[in-house]
Amino acid sequence: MSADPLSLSISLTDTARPAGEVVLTNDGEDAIRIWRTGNDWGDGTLSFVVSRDDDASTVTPAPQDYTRNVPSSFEVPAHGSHRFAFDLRDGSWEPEAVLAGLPDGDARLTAVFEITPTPESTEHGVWTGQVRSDPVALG
Amino acid sequence: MTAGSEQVAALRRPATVADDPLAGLLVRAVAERGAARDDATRNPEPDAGEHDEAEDETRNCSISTGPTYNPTGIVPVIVGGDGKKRAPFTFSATFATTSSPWWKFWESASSPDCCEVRQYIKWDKAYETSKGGPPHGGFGASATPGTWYEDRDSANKRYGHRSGSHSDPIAGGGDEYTTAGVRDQLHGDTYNGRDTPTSPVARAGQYQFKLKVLDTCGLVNTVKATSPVITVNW
Repeated sequence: MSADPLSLSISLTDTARPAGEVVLTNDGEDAIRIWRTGNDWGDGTLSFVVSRDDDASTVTPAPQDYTRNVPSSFEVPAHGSHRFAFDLRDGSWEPEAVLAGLPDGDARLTAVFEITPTPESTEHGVWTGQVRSDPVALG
Repeated sequence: MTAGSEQVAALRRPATVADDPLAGLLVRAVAERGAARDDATRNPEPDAGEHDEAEDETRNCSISTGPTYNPTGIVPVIVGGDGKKRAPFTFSATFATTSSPWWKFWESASSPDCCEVRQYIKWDKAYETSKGGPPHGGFGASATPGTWYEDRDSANKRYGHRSGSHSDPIAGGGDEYTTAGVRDQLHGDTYNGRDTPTSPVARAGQYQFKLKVLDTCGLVNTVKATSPVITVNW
């Protein structure tokens, strides 16, 4: 079984909110199709874990309003990447209570990108699985 | 005047429509094209913001069926266990292909690639109050309730665009043109779309949707048909 060609990293621009970019990199030889955000299928794919000592809490996208809501997808090219800009205090993530006390030198942020198998993922040829970033300090 | 001199005089006289059947056909062709152009430009699409991209005077859009929604009227809202409620529906239209006999060269042929579907959305004041603004960032903060806007997602992808930056074909009848059941985004004679407007369970207010089919082969895009409005009561 070959290693997953996708990897994930965080580039922080603000440790207090926190905010920055999550970079999804495709190190494989083939393009990989993933869900586009802005719909029911794509907006649940990215989440974060805020960890302090032995405690870990998950931050997920808050329920959104969609008008054109379709399983839209695009390809991350071979040896290419896609950047997800994020700001965990812009109102589109919950629960914000997890972010209280930041910046905190003991806190770490990990990004999780996951697409679960569904009939739509099969129909549209979308990659399924989970990749996690290395934790970054929020202090 | 002799018979011979009459023939010479006729030859020297400028040709008129009455004299020349071919000239008559030409005059008629020019007049009919002009009338068709005037008719097209008298009916600009006010809320689509459409622009002429590639005028093609020899082809136009002719609709065979639709555009129609399923269901019609009030769309049932389904409350899920994930904190969201959804109102799924589908829509469709089909387009005709016709050609004129060669000797009616002033007539346009109907070509499906001249037809493009658009979906429009309007939300009410109660919705805006509940949401605290437009449905999502794709509309811009200045979008107002009670106004028809072309529907889109937050990435500004829109239904029915055969090409261009708004185009985002979705397989399986999500947003695609086909011919004989096979994806044919540029020339397909059948359009199928599917939408599942979604909101958090606490949302109040109303969405309304309608479809238009545009003829994109004229000087300006013109509306060929409009569907009845459907309503989602959140």
